[in-house]
Amino acid sequence: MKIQSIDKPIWIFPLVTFRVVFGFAGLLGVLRFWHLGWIADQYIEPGFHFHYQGFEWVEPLPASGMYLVFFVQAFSAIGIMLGAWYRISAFAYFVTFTYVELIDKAYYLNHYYFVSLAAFLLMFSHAHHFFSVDVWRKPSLKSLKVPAFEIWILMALIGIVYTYAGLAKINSAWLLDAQPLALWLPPHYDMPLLGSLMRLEFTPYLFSWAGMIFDSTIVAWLLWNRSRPFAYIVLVLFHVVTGYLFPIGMFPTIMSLIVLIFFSAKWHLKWQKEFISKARMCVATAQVHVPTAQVRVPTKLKSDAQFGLQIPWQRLKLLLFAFFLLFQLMFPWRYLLYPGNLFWTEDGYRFSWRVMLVEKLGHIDFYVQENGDSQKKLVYLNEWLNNQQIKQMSFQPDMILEFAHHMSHVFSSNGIPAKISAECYVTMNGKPGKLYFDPEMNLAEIPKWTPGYKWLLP
Amino acid sequence: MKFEKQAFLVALIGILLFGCKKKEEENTLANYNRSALLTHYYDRLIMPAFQSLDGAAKALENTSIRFANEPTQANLLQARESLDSAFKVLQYVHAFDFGPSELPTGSLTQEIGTFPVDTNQMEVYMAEADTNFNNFRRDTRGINAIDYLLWGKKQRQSDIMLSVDTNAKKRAYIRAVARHFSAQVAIAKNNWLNYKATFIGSTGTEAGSSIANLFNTYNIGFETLKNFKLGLPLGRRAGQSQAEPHKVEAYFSGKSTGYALRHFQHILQVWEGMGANGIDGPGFREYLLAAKEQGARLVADTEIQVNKAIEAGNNLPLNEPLAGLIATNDQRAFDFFNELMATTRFFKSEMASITGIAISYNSGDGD
Repeated sequence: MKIQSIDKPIWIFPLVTFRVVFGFAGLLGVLRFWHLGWIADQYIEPGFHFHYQGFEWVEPLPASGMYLVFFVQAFSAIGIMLGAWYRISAFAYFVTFTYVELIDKAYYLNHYYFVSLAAFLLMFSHAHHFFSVDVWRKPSLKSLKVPAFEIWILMALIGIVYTYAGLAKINSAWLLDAQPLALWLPPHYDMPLLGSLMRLEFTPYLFSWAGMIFDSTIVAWLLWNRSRPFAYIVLVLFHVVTGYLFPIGMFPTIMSLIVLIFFSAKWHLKWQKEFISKARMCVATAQVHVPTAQVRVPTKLKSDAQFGLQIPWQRLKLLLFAFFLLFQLMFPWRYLLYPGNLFWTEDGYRFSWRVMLVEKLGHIDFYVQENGDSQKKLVYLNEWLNNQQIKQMSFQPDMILEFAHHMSHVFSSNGIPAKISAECYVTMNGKPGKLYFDPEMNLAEIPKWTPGYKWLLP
Repeated sequence: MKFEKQAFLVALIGILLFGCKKKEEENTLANYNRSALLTHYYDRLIMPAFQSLDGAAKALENTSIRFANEPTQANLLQARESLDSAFKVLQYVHAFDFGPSELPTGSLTQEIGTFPVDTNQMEVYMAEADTNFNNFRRDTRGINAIDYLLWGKKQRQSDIMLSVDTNAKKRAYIRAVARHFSAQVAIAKNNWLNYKATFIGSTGTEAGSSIANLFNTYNIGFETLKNFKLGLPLGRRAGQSQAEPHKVEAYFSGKSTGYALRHFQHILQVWEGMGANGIDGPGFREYLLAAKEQGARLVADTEIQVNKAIEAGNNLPLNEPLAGLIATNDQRAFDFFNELMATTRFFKSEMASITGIAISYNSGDGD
């Protein structure tokens, strides 16, 4: 593909819809999080947080500060949705959202990661140059076109999410044993409509294969004009069903809305135009003077090259996006560098669109042996962590190590760190729990951020 | 031709959807009657446990007030007997400490079962005649507070009677604690009475469903026994430099060994689905067995370990105070604790994995 075609101005309307629904979903997400009391549960009450490598310095603010962060996040989501003070809004949303996610990896979710990435890209886009408060404030901003890559990069990101999620499903447990769906689906025999299907033994196989094929190919069906409407219906059904079956929060809503970006510019323009004309009628009946130029939608759209690559900033942005894309394509494969079974070690598991792939739970008891003490003592985990943190830590080696180091520090005496051991049993896809590592080993002596978890038992 | 094709399709779908049902009459997770499971739990375990506790709490209230009003030896002995009965039946509600058992200042067992009590703070409240209990100092009220008031710190019966006789504020405190205890139990019991339809109607396995609530609270109940009735007084908690025998439940009356074993019996009964009057029915064990080989394997593994814990429990001298066993470093107390430790993982992670019961209380999102 030539540079010119990446740079080619194309209709802005799909990007505008993306901006609106992304902001809307973002707002919904904050309100839901707030309403469920999770700000306090996840970020204020726990005395310890699991950090990301390289972001160990990220800590939660005091309670009022955390609420302020979410308040700003909600407002900036509204700003994105309305295209109001858009650059500041997009920046504020990206920063507050990403900050919150970086505080504690016990709450890591693939779709949170996606939201961070999409917000990052939106900061650099011209999504507010049409159908926005900013255009209403400053009509000269209005533009009907944006450089193609601003839209394509978002489509590519969505494409990577689905396709990589599909590729990750190509493994023997998923396809040949229908695991973990064989564990997850049968208890849903009483769900509406599909309930009786859940009673059948082949259903997990059907769902496993269908899920794999859906994830791997949906983007192709969305790209093709003729299959797009049908593909979208299938996609919404897919997300409605998975959203009903599994506790995946905002994910189905977000995905169902943002894939609209694959629809034609004409389709997007139609609803935006209708909205504007209705808004104009409302405004007109209210007898407020609004310059017509601000709401007029031309019937004939003109080409526009004001964002061309002759502008140095645009060239830099293209370079940034190219690097972004390359990183997204490569990073999920890093697990190939590490020994062992990825599902068991989780080394290189995050940030790779591995979604709902395995039923994995653990049980862990930490023991502290203080310097000079002959006995080892049990850590009462509830006194240090919340349930979600305990659950996630119980089968994730990097979290186990970080907590062990923390305990070693807390129970150090006379500057000598305590010996920390743990008995950890992990069960995968309903198999008998297996010892995760040697329970006699001093976990505090294992360096925290070394990949390739050779201290795990196979 | 077209009609034939349609008929064929309808027949095929019919076979797919309903065909397998006839063949499989056995219980599987794909047809398990969770409503019957919940009904059994509600009718045979939960309500009887709360009815018994309610009766015992009312008796304790009456006898304690009688003793406070008239501190004779006969009344003291009667009050102590009621206390013992109440302690015993209290052990059977730990797995049901959710939903209707949630009171404004915490769950029922927190509100009325907290131990050890802060006797100094109790004396302060007594001296100030402060008996409104409208605070989070749960270690100044509840059944363990009554335990202190009726038994004192190794005091003779006559001393206790005398201290009550000569101290109007103490009499008032005894009455207030006993009334509070009974009132809290009555609230929980009545909440449960009105909760039947909700409880039985919530047949899913997701976070917040009845089964998930029961399963998770069951595990908390188990941890309470392991970590607080045994681990803490044994000095097994990280940060403790030595055993702290006075941190057992019912420290003053000294009947903690028997209560701990009853607590364990309650855990086993809920696992089995064994009703208060010995009526066995569906329970977690049977639900697991519906998960075919994986479930049967886990049930077998679990019971091997549970039997070790039962054996360790049976080795405990029922009539010796747990605090005494701990103070003398009795290995039997450590053994029981260790076997309970080894049991935890079977009740928790593996069972949740196989049955699909959500392992969290409020659904943190997953993906």
